[in-house]
Amino acid sequence: MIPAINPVQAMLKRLNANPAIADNPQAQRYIQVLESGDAQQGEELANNLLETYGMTKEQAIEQAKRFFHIA
Amino acid sequence: MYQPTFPQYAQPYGTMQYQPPAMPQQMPPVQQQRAITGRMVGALSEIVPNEVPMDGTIAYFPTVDGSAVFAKAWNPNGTISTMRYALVEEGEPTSEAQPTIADVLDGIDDLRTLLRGNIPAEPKPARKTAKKGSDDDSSD
Repeated sequence: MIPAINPVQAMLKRLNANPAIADNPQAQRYIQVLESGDAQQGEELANNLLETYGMTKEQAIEQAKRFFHIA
Repeated sequence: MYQPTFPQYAQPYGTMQYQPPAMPQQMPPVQQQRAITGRMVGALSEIVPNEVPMDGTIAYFPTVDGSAVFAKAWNPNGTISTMRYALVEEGEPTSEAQPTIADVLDGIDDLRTLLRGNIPAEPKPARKTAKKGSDDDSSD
């Protein structure tokens, strides 16, 4: 029987395997937030990033949907 | 006759010489020059977040007129911190007015007058008080 794989954990594993991300302290910080599961911290981080890039939440969600081909 | 497999060890007992491994030639340490991230900008507003590297290194943006250098770096909380280094030229006169010799001499004269007790009585300036009631003390 094939063990069930948590897709988030699998994604994080793939991300950490990428040397560009593994050697990037900023990216490691973002991954730590994801791994901790702290929603408040993640939301604060996301809001700060959006404010820095000058994007709204809706614009970011729209771009993410297009990137992942989600209707 | 005994033919040794390793000729270097085919010496009579007691006369074996130890040959240390050859040491590699020590090259002088080469300092790798790290490039500075950034570009010349006309104003702070020209800098976009994508120009700041996300690996935590500081990006430098000198102004075209040479008056300042902006340094930007990502913070762990997802914001970008900005530092501004302003130009200070060597030998430039300071903005503060330096006291002249005449000012110093006037100060010394004032001190002499104070020490001798010959301070002239200065009229007190009229005070403007905002009292609600009338100022006169006349009783009714």
